[in-house]
Amino acid sequence: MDFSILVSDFWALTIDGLVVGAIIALVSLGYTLVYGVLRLINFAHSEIFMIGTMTCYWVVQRFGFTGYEDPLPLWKFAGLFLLFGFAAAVVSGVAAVILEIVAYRRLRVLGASRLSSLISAIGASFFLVEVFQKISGAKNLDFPRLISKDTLFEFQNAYITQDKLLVIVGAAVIFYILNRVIHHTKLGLGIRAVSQDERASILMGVNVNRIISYTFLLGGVLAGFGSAFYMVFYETTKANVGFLIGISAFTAAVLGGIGNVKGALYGSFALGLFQQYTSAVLGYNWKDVVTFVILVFVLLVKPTGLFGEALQKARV
Amino acid sequence: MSTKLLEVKNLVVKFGGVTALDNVNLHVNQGEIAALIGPNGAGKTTVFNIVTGYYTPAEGEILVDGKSMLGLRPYKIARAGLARTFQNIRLFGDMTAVENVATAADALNKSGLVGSLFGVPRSRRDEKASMEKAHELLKFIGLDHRALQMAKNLPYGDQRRLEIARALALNPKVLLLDEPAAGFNPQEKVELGELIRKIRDRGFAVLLIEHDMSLVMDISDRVSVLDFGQKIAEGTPVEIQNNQRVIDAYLGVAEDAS
Repeated sequence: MDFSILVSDFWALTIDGLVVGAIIALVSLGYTLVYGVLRLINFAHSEIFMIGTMTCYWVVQRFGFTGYEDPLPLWKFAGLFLLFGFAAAVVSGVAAVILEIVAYRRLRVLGASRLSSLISAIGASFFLVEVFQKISGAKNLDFPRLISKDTLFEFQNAYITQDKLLVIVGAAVIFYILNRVIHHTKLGLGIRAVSQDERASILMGVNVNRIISYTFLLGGVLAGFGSAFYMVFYETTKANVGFLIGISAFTAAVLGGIGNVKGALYGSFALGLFQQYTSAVLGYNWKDVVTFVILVFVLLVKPTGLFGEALQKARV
Repeated sequence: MSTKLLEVKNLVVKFGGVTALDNVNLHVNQGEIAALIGPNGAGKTTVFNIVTGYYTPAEGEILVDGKSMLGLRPYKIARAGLARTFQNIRLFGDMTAVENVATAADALNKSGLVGSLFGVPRSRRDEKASMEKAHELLKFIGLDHRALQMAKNLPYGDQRRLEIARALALNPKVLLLDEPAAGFNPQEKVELGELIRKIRDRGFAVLLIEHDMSLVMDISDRVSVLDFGQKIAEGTPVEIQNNQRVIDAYLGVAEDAS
């Protein structure tokens, strides 16, 4: 073990941790919101994210960007980013709603056990990965460098680049809007009411099926924006891109306490930072191992996570 | 004459082989406090569960302001004018008092959830109106000073009253109260009686399930008595207190030795 990099590059690692944490958070919120209303781990959510990355790729291709041109001027990049960002949000959101109708709704109406829904989730996940393997030819799809990644300014050995700034600021804006939606709108109150007592919310006039659909929509939209940030930062995708980020996001949700929105945010940033710090010490290859270890560790030692309820004894 | 806001006709409810309600007729008139009493297990809460659509009756008809509720989904019945409280408090514990009430108020506003998600002006206006209505109801119920506290942190009595405010946010034609005085001390019971009268005077009809006889006899305009799933009496509090069948049902007659 060598702690010298951790010490010398601490701020660089912290910035990267925040960037990764923000992307994880956007995916993680989808797990936690759906778990809240349905007590279901939507394991196909990682594929909703993958569909977002594919959408970004296709939109950018369609506009003729192949990666051999110079980075765009800022205003052009902003326009293009908004375009593929919103495209990904819409496509992922709609995909999530369709997923709920196809994979879960019938089971719910029939009163099937949660295990059936979980199996259905895993099946839907495999299905989507395989379909997109076929479509994409199972190869890495490289995203063009649309924005210059030259250093904007340096801070304590940390090089702040435009793409990192975009992710952090963009995610902060989205979290702000999400907070408003959750706390001040009919949709947000409905989601929270259904999460806390489904039967009471029905008897207070809440249309639970609607709320569930829109919860999937909201989770999908967030994952779609997350995928746009991901593409700008990592610049590549493939059909199974969702797996590792999905595991990270799920781990972050469990770490923060699944079902809890605030928990998913804190869990994601904690995990993002932890991944960066440990890979500085152990080597980058260990990043995902660390994630799995945290997942198992939290489930064993503190299944309620930081804020939420225990996965093992979810309310019936 | 008076309009029947809730009318239950020839209601038969069976759970497996057991008949929980046997040919029960009930109604609640406009502007009255009606009470439903009976020994434990008589089927009182079952009546609430049936009229709010939680169970489906084997036979019978349920009318709210003349419109049939049979086959309607429970959330639609709630919006159509039947709002209830629960014997075991079922608030949204991790939401503030005012959010609890606003959730029910929001159920009535017509703007859609997409608009809510994207913050279109109409949704914002409706959501603001729900919030104002929620604050107004908290004031009416005497909880405005606790509006921003988490429901789970409220004292027991306030939680019970908050449930009533939440139900009122649905503008119910009939407010269904399931043992609202449970766990109250005598002073709180008196205050609750005042509150229920105030609710009636505001124009809501009330159907009350309650074990506390002094409260029932004090505030009710009309009392119906259930025993073993059958209605055995109906009348004014005075008539009910002097009804021999009711007295037998409560005290037990010789052959009914359980």
